[in-house]
Amino acid sequence: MKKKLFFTVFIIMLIAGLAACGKNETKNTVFSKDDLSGKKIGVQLGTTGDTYCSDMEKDKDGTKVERYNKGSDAIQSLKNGTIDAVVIDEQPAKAFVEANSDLMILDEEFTVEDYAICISKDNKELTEKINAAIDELNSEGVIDKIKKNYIGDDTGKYPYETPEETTYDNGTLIMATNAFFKPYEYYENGQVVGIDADLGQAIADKLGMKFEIKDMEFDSIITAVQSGKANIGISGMTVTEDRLKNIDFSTPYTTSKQVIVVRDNNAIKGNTNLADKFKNDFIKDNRYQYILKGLANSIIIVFFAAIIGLVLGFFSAVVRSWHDKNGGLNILNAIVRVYITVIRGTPAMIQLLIIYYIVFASVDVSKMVVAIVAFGINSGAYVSEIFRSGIMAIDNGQFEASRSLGMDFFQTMIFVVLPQVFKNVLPTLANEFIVLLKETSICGYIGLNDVTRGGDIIRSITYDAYLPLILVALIYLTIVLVLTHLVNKLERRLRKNER
Amino acid sequence: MKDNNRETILHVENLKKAYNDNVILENVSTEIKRGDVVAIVGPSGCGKSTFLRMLNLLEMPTAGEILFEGTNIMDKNENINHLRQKIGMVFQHFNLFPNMTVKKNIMLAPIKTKLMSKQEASDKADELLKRVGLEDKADEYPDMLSGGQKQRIAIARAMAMNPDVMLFDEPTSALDPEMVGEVLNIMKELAETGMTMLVVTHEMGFAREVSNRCMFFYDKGIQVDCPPEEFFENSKNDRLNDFLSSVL
Ligand SMILES: Nc1ncnc2c1ncn2[C@@H]1O[C@H](COP(=O)(O)OP(=O)(O)O)[C@@H](O)[C@H]1O
Ligand SMILES: [Mg+2]
Repeated sequence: MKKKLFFTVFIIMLIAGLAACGKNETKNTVFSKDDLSGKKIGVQLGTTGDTYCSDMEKDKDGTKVERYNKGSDAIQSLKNGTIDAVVIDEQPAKAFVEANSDLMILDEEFTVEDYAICISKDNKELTEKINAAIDELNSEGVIDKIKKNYIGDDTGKYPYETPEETTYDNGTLIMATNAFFKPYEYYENGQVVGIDADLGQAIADKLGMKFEIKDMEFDSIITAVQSGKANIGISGMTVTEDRLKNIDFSTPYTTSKQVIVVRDNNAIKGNTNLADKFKNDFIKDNRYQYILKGLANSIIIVFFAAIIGLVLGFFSAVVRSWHDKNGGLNILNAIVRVYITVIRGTPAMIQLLIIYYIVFASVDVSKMVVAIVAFGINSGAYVSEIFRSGIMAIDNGQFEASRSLGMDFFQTMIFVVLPQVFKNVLPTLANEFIVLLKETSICGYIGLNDVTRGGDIIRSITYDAYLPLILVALIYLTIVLVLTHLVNKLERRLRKNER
Repeated sequence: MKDNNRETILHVENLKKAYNDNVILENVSTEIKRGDVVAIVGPSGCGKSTFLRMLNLLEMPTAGEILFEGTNIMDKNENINHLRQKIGMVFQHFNLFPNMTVKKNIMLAPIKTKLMSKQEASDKADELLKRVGLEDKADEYPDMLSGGQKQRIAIARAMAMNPDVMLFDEPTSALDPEMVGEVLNIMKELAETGMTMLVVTHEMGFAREVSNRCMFFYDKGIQVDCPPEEFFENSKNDRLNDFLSSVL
């Protein structure tokens, strides 16, 4: 068991090491906007950079646009040489280049654009209040100060502070954002900070509301605001025609432009060794906490989802067996069949998004609950089929003997059939929960900080892909190995009971 | 046991069973009296098992009526689980619960149906194990037993519910020949206590010695129903005589 684990770790490290060393330095070939045609361009999905470059994709030179969920992922791909340039907003670009000496920003710029706050079309009243707040904050110079605190030479000198006389009588203002966009929004010591975060706080203070930030994928922000998951979206969002169809925007609070980030051919490669990388990734600023907290969340989700899955799956399997053996329960059986077909016929990620944005749209529940419910429902469908085939595999004579003794259907199920089924399906069931554990790595799509997203946050801070990804992989692997070991033990004990 | 004053325990009237359009049994009528030991014989596939399994509704009759101790068991308002407690059944393939010890097999139903407390069920199991001569196997799992032992446990398990009638569906057909005797002996002892029994069997010796009635199933129904002496020596039914000469 231990040997196997060490061996696996060794292999993974080896592959990762080879990947890191064997990488060829790809020379930069983009020096102006015109050079972009025919190249691979990285953008953040749903941003104005995406819109601009998508037009270029239509030319005949084979220009290709790679769309990433996070700006930092695009930057990582650029560093790896997977893409040739990244078109992204100026300020995040500066932050990226500052952190990565091997990147540079081209002088040539795209057009200037406005950032504004998005609000649901159904909430004109809030839009007016926010516009009024922005006007006040502008005339008081607060917005300028917030910007200065993050951009330029005086960063950190003007931290926003809530005015003393502020009251919180008007409920909570929930802001949706995608915290991978420094300096507008990013993680620092486990908190989402940045210009947009402070602006949101300042507006909430003006409105006399409590303030809360929900971090999610960029392309989920508008949906979240529409569905009421959040009241406002502030995420360096440019006002565009397309967006205006779905959402209202406040008056702009700042301007930005799109710039082109490329590899710097003249950069001196800093030779960071693995130990330094490790320190930077995990030790500095207690960054390991992102992974640790994520791990706790992942485990809680899997644990409760597995329980829900077992109960749902058990119930569904019993309904279906009842229907098969006794007839009746037609409606319930039909519902169960639809449930199983739909869940097994759609990706877990879509189910998670549907449950978050549609089912729980107007209810304010924690993302953990959403994830537990979503994965519980998902798992239940698979568990049901596992149980059902397990029940089918039990000799009909077992049912008949039990029923002939006067035990009813449920007594027969619970005391005679299911204990045998459980033992037979245990390995398959364990497999299902192992799949479930790995499936939860999509929690990031609703902005839930599971262990995968913990690694993602570290990646977005340190721009080092290897160690965070490998650590996360190792964590999953370890849990899977431990689970497998426990199941084997349990299985052996159950077998012993019979011989 | 010739007297006709014994009370009727099972009354079967015009019973019919068909799978889709395939009629297996038709117009089956009979009365079983308390204390009857009925041997049911007939060629394979003629519906003996089907008949037996309809008596405790493991199979649903297509038409007809079954009264058990005066109660119409097909009446939807009757609790079939309560009725089944009074009708024990022993299967060709034993159908012991493999995940429980022998004693747990016997105790499960009396406890779960609330017929007995745990202590009562345990005492009952001990008594029955003694009766079938397997008290030393109480804590074994069924897989450790021989076929003959398994069937004796299955009989004990059915007896634990204190049934009024016992149905046996070819209880010795799955056994090696050397184990048939031990099971038949238990059944004979049971018959001697006055238990009402319906036994589907190919053991003509058992039918002749232990039963007080022999039934010959053929052509969708009961063709002959008479005491064993007449059944084996003086039958005028050609089909039965053909059948007997083929099995004896
Ligand atoms: N579930 C079923 N569906 C269709 N036909 C069946 C079913 N069960 C039994 N039969 C048919 O009913 C007939 C009687 O079967 P059975 O009562 O088992 O006969 P026996 O016990 O006398 O050998 C057989 O021809 C068998 O094929
Ligand atoms: Mg049969």
